Amino acid sequence: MRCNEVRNHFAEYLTEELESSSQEEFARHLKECPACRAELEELTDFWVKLGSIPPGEPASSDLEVRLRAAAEAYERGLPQTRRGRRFWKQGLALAAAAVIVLTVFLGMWWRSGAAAVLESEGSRRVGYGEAVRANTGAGSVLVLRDGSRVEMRSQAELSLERADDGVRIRLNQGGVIVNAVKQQNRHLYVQTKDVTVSVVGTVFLVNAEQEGSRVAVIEGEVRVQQPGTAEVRLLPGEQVKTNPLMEPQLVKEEISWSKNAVTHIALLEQSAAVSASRQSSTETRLAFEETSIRPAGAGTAVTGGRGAGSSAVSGCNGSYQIQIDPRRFAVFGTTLHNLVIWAYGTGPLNYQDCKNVTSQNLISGGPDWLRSDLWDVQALIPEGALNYTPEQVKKGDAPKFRMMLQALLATRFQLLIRSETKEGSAYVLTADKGAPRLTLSADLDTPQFREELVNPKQPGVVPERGAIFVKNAPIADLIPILEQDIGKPVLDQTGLKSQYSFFIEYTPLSRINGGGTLFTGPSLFKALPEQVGLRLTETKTTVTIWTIERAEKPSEN
Amino acid sequence: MPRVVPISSGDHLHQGKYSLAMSMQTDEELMVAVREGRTGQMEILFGRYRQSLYEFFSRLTGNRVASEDLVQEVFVRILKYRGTYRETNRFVTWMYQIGRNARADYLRKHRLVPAEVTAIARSEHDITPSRQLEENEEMALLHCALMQMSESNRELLILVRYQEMKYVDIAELLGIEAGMVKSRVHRAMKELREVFLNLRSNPSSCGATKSETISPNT
Repeated sequence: MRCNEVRNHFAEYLTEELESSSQEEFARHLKECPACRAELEELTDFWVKLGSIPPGEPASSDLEVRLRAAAEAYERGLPQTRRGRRFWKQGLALAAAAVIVLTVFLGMWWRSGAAAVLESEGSRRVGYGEAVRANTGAGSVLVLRDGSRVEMRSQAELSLERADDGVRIRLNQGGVIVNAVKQQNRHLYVQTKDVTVSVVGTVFLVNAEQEGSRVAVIEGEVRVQQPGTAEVRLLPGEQVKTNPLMEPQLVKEEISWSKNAVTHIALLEQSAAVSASRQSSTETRLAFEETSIRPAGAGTAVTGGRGAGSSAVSGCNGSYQIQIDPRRFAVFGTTLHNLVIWAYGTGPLNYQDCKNVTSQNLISGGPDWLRSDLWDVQALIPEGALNYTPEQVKKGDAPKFRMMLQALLATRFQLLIRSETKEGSAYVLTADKGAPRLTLSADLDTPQFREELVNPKQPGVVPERGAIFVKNAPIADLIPILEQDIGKPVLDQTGLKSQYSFFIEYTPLSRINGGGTLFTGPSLFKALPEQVGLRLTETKTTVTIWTIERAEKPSEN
Repeated sequence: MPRVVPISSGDHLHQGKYSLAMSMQTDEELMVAVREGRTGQMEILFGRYRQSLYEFFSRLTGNRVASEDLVQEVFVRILKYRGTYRETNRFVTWMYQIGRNARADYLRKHRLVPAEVTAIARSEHDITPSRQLEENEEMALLHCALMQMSESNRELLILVRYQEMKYVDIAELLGIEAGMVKSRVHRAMKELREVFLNLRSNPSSCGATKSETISPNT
């Protein structure tokens, strides 16, 4: 390559988009051409510095609310003339779209006092108190003023009433599936003769039968009140019967009549998978008895009294401290991101998760404060709920504890998280015979250096720029360091169970792939087998990835 | 810490069969859903892009109020023009396209003047001399340089450096060849360096960090 051509690639070099086919020639030219090298180094320096300029004043905290309000206002305020007739002529897909577009324009109807619109009957308006009966075989869809949709099973009968703080659907008979839009200050109620369901924003089913009623949740959460009993909270997949003699039915089967059954079932599986509760409705759900969450340092953070199971951990967001006694879980100064990793990951609790590549890749999405804001969390563990030793919990060997933590995140942070299994590339770490070897280059091979590795004051794996010190530590502790450099999961298949001491000198991949300095030294892939007899081989594996769809700062305790 | 779980694993935390059934919804799938009328899916797109879109405008304009208005305008326009979305377009590119148009309209409507021709205007967050000392002088100068360089090059650097857009996507956004984008980025970096070096020899002009403001004659 000539200087001109090389400079054409500078932009790609900066964004690490330089194609591998050009890399070698690019590097060769730079080695030989001081002028290009100087320019590239200067540009790289600017590039790196540019990266640390802060984005400026943060958006106001109510921006999110404002955006949602603007979107809703827009949706309601659309002029009706845009509902062109030609929509109907353009085949099924457009017809379906038009039905939904129609619901968008419902705002026009409301001013004239209708309570709802019966979509299936040519958008017939339905007033308060009017009885609505689904006669058509396929069922009917009733759209309420706020956009909530009530799918009625054929033969279902209901009427709408004004409630003090919203709307009440009085279900006289039959089944409905309600897809409620998120309610702001108002409530949507569904009432049968023996049960009242109140809703915040969710998809759920109510069946009013002769012998009693049945309520089941597909997505979100509802509260169910039967006369003379305490209110019950229902999560996806859970159901309540008002009469114990009623036949038990799978929620999945109960919604099979719906036109949207496939969507509902998918939704149900998705929400049930992420909902804290994996129990059937008859068992008690796993949850902490009492929880307190506040911004770190705001309250009476206990830093002194460490219980039997406490341990101080230095995370990348300062230091946090975990306490696990038989009845109490407490952690001070941790991010929600870390809590999510503990709740959904599989690793030990006292891990520096934010520095670990795999856990970074494992959980994505969510607002920025998720990774920056620090929280003090304290929770009471129900008596006898956990028979784990604190050691087990800290090692991550405590599924029930994780479920409690999941429930806490769902209720207090409104966490909505979605999982997905992906095939991706990973690396397998294997050991040659006799590995790992402790070999040191001549300049390092001093008695002091060996002594520090073999008999360290503090055992462990210490990564430094371009070097890893393994000081009388297990291979498992090396894995995250390797993952961090190569940015892929590493599976330990060395079969090595003991503690080892060795030393690796290498060039970080980020630098090799264009982090700014010119290329020197071997990568981990080369350094590991040459220096200690460990090998990284590429493989395919499945990884479960979690995406945070929603998280909100917790309200007052 | 095995983060990697085979599908057959009995580990109840990784609901293999569920996660297999539910595929990841891409931006494009979500936007198609919005187009088809499931406007509730907009919520997820809000969540994914609210922050980065705000930062894009904020870095570009240096003005919080304008940036917030613009983010709102973009999301409303996405709803408004959802019928025109084609799944063959990357959502992000489409969104930034809307964003750039929204900004052009905003400048016209509010008689705003792009930063490079504006007189001195400071918002709370502009760089003040005392902050310069705190921050590391060089960094503050670089920030000034970024705000003082040409509008189009600044936008390009913001897209590529902070919004981390790929060259092909920027090419689609700007309607030029990817090769052009790369050479423009190279030139933009050189311009930044020049502005920076000028500022270093004459740091007093750094106080004139510019942000988009309503021009005095409105």
